[in-house]
Amino acid sequence: MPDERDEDLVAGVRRGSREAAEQLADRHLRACRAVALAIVGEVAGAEDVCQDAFVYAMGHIDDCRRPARFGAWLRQIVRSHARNHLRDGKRDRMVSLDAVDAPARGPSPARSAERADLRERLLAALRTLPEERREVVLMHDLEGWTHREIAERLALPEGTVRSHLHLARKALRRLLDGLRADLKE
Amino acid sequence: MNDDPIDLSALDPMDDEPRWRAFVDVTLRRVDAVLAERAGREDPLDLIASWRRPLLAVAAAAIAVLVPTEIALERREARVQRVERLVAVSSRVADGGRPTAADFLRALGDARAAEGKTP
Repeated sequence: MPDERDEDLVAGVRRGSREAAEQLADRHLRACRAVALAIVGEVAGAEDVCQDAFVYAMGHIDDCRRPARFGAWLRQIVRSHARNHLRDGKRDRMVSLDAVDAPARGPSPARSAERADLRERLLAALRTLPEERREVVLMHDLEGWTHREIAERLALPEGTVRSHLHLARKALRRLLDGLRADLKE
Repeated sequence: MNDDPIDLSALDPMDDEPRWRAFVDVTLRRVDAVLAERAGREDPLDLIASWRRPLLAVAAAAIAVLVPTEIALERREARVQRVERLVAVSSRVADGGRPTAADFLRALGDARAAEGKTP
């Protein structure tokens, strides 16, 4: 059912279809993670939030009053869960990914360490930005949304989105360059 | 002024694809539990809605049987009344009475009305 509209998939979940839930996850989970990352500021916590919010949404699918706008409804749940996560200072993961039988293949330890280091630097730089700017830059430069899509989905004027993106990139570039210079010294 | 996108690929979940797949699998396993719980819950409105179709079918079948029966019974009753009136007029004749033209017309007219004709 790759071409089904969100409202059809929501109707499917209401009938108990696992396939519909899976399709919604494929379509929206990445953006949820990015929204959570913009608020929580760290990957593990953002993924906890994203997972909890998606499971919550599936359990409360009858509360989705405008199924055609499922994505916006889901991201609102993610924001709410992310703020609760920060407020409660939650650190315990509901389901540890360490317990999951992930395939053994993956990046080498050296590359993993390098990417982890880069990830931490990016997150540290992102944390210095206002939340809305973080979300805009993640949605554009990570998730590939257009200015118009971000404007519609965040209910912001397109000009504001462009301005946020420009300022976020400028700040990030300055911070990352500074970090690189520190590492060279 | 450099306004190129920032390389955020280190934050991309597909940067470690097996880990992301595992994350999605765990999420969907939790969704399975939620869907199973939802299926176990019986919403009273859903229950009523599930009975609506069979109830409508039964009602339609009852109407299909009862309406022709009622019409048949009414016709039969009208015929009996007509015969009774004609018998009453005949009895008066047999008893030496003289039924009036109005008596004849009433008996025949009622019978015609019962058959759906104008007198």
